Amino acid sequence: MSAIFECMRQRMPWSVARVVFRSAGVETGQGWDKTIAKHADAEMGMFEGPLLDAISEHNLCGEKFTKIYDLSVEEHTEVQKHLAALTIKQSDFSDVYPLSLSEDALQNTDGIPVVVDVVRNTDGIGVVYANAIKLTTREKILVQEYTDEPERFTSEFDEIVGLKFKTVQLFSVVWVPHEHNSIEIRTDYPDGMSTDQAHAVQSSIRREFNQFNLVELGDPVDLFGLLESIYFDESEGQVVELGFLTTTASVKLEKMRKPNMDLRLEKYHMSGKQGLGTPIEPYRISVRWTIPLDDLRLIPELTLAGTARGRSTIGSVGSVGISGATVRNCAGRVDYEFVLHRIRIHLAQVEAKAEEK
Amino acid sequence: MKTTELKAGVTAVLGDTETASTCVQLVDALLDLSPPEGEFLTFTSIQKLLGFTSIDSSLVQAVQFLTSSQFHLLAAHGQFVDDDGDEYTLEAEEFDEVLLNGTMVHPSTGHVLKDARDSVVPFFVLSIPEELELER
Repeated sequence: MSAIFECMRQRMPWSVARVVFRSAGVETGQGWDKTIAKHADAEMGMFEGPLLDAISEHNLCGEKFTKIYDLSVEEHTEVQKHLAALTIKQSDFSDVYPLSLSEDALQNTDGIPVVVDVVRNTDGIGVVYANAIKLTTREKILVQEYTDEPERFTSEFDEIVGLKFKTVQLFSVVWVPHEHNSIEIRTDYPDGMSTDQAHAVQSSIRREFNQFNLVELGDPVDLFGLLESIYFDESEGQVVELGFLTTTASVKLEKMRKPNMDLRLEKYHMSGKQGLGTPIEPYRISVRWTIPLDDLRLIPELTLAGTARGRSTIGSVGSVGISGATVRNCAGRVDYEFVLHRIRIHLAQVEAKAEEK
Repeated sequence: MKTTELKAGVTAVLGDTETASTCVQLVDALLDLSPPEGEFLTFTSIQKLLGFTSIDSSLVQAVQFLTSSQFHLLAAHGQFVDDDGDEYTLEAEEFDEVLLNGTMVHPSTGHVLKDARDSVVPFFVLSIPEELELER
């Protein structure tokens, strides 16, 4: 059972883990340490199955960076057929799947993604890859824990920060939904991973897929149009972060992460827009939804992160894109698929508007 | 209850003190706010509302009085801001835990933070009792 807890701890934000524990009927304590201690000596066999199922689902849907690629009907059929027939070769990763390898064991892996599972469910068919990557995280150091004379340091520095080099396991998924002629590449996006690394992991999985020689995945679907489509649809979730440019030469990054509050409707934001008289130009948005599920509340969050370059640079006028969506805080399929459904609805609206012009 | 009665009640309880005077000023200032303007009031925003040059003890006591007495117009909440600058609004029981013991669980990492007081911003939400009859 400790391996299950440790795996959840490595992969899930605590707020998500609490939802998973509650749905499996496992009581939680105050934070990870106390929750693990609470169950250390208890008979937990009955919870193993539900928690392993939840981990499998989280591997597919939790803390993901997702790019979408369009397929033709024929390609869709062929890709699904091929993926469904894949066999899994034995590896260190497959031996422990759906759990992750320990950090020590990860040191012996070479970083190349290997297939660990083929998933077929009512949403689609997907292949799960595992590999290891090195991340650097920044942690505040409490000097008093390391020296009897902390004032030697605290008198000179306001904050002392350490860099931690850590090897973590990633699960990446090539997913082909039944209902849409497309492929999603979903890659893990843990804390400490840079945007460049997130794109690099996406590219490595795309290369793996392209080696099947079924279809050559090129550019992903551009999600930039969703910024305004979502922003101007006030019935669409709650906006909790918005980055935008104004014609008065300012770059704004507004955040409002209060439960049940929507930045779009906040007075300062609305008055600012009214005072401006010209439209704002969103380049980044985070929106979240609250989905009641039995006695649980799922709160998935979608981020479309462009930069203050907006839609145009000297090299790409009107065509700077957003190639991927960050989908966080999902416990499993229900909330992840909900977010993807909303993305698809807005993509269709953007496409319809483009055709009108 | 009318607002004049509320202010008279505040003065009756706190007596002829600086805190009572600040409290009455604060009641007036709060009742002048339109609802969305009272969703996130920090000590600093209250200081500015009152035109005070600093957050003095009368202001702190007035705020405490209006959050906890029978004349409460404010509901106290906490916002945790971690070292990366990420913000999380605390549930009532989490905020109580910080106030009582200084501890809380980081909503993302699940680590227990033993001294969270310096990372939690108190804020107040205007919460006008239904029975209060506003006099404009």
